Formats: sequence, structure tokens, C-alpha cells
Amino acid sequence: MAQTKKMEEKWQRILKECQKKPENKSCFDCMGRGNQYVVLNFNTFVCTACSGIHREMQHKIKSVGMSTFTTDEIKAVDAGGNDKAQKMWMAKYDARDGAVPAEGETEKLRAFLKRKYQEKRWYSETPGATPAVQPVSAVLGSEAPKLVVGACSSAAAIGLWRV
Amino acid sequence: MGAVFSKLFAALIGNREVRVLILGLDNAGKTTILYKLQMGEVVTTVPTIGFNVETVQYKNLRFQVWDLGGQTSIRPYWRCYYQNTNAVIYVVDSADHDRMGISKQELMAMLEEEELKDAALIVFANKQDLPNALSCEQIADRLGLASLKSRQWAIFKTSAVKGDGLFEGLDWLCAALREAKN
Repeated sequence: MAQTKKMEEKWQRILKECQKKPENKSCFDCMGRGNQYVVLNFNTFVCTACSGIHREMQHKIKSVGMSTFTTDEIKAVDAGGNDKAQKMWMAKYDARDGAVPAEGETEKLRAFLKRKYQEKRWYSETPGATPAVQPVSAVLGSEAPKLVVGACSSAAAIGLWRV
Repeated sequence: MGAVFSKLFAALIGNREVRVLILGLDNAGKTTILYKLQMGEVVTTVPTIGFNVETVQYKNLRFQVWDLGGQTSIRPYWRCYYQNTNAVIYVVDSADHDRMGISKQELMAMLEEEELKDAALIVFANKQDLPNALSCEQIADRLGLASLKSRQWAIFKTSAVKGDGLFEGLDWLCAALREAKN
């Protein structure tokens, strides 16, 4: 029994240590200062306001300190964290997508998180992958219509441009 | 003197204040229900630490409604609010199949409290707008409501975001309180 209690305390300590890691210090979604909540779906640390938006999207959240985590949940958080999640959920994000809404911009954040998690706009299964760059011929084959500069009214040219 | 008259007046037309607690596991929808009742709006919520309290005027009753935080380590503080409570609204996330057992445990532990022995119980099977929501009957079964003896209780299917079922619950409560008084 004492053994179990000790193990439990050990895992609680690990959770607190995870929370203190530099990568988890700020909110995963708005980059604000809070990191009181864990989104169990993604094993990320987020602020109170973002945890509220996650709840609306049916994601499971728990507060470090106010909730009890199971050992499995803590193991997952320990193996995950904000850095790893960033490489998956924001893999395809770049400056052209605009700035991430800041802490306190609730409406903007809600829209942003919908794009991020429900539409998986910037998601990649293989963390760290950058958008693939390959020759046009690899995409269109050798039969590809020629790109004619200055003749943009041509449907083929527009089609090519869009690829 | 004025106070005496207003009390007498209140007694005659039956205007009285009713103390109601909204309880349930975290993320059941308690705060959303409170503000939907009070303002008729869906507000953006964050997990409640501590409580929210509002008065809701409905029919000829003034409900003083307390919404208490539902996260694990703050549930033990619910008992600090039990005294003089006329009714408990117990909110269940109908789509949270995994935690029905825990929800039942918390409900039963609460109902055993001496201070709540005369309180009416309304269960809100909330989040009925979600596709995988359990029905009222399934939830009544999973919570073991049929085993409740000597208590006025009722269960309603609700959707706090749509506003469905909430005022039906209050209607039932008005009738139940009138019955209890007679």
C-alpha cells in the first residue's frame, strides 16, 4: 500500500516537472503565460482561457493541481509536451498564415483553434516535415503544358500556376 | 416596519427565495446552464475555480443559484454550501460515457448528506445536442436514480447551448416546492 502511494507521489512529481519544462512554460495555443491545464487529446499545456475553448470542442482537459491524473495520462504527457505537439499541429504553418492570435483575443482564438484542430489546417503526421518541394514534371508528368509567360488567360497556364 | 409588510406581501403572493445548487463533474455544463438561465445567452466559460452565484427570477420565485466548480480536488468543498439548500440541480455530460460511474458516486455521496435530506433533486442529462449523447433513460439507469427513496426527483434532457429543457426543469421545481410547502 505504501508502495502504491509512493509510486503515485512519484508520478505527480513527474507531472509537475513536465509543467516546469521551458517548452511547456507558456500556453501551447496562444503563447500566453498560463500553463495550468493539460489537453489530454494532445498532451499539451495550455492557459485557462484556451482550456475553455478546448472544452467547447469536446477535448478532454485536466488542471494540474485541481484534477487527478492517472498514471497513464502522466506517462503520455511526459512523452508528449508542447514541442512535440507543435511539430505535428503546426507543421505546415508559416508566416504567410498570419500571426497566432494573442492571449485574450477569445473570438479570434476560437476560430484559430477550429482551423488548427478540426480542419487540421497545419497538421502533419510526420513531425518536422516541411512542405514537399519537387519538380513540376513530377506532379504533372512529361505531358505538362508549357508555361507561357505573358499569356495568363490560358487555362493551362492558370492551372499550372495554381499547382 | 416596511420589512414586515414586504415579508407579509411576499408570503401572500408566494414570492420567496429558493436556494439552488448546481453540481456535477467538471465540464458537465454547470456554468453554461447558470448563465443561460440568468441571461438567456451562451457565454464563453473557463473551468470554474470556486463558484458563481446569480439570482434568477422565474414565475413568482426568486432562485438564488450557486454554481460550484466540479474538478476533482475541489469537489470536497461542495459540502460547505449545503446548508439551507432547497434543491440541487445535478448536471451530467450525457456524452461522457466513461465517467458515468464517477458521476454516480459523487451524486450518491452528496445525497447521503444530512443537510440535503429535504432538498429536491433535478438531474439534467445535458449536452443532448451531441451525437453520442446517452438518453434520459440510460442516464437514469447508469446513475441508479430508481433506488432513490423518500426524495422528490426528476430527470430532464437538456442542451444548455440551445437552451432546451432548462426551464422545464425549473417548472418542475416550482411545482415540487409548492407541494413540499403544503
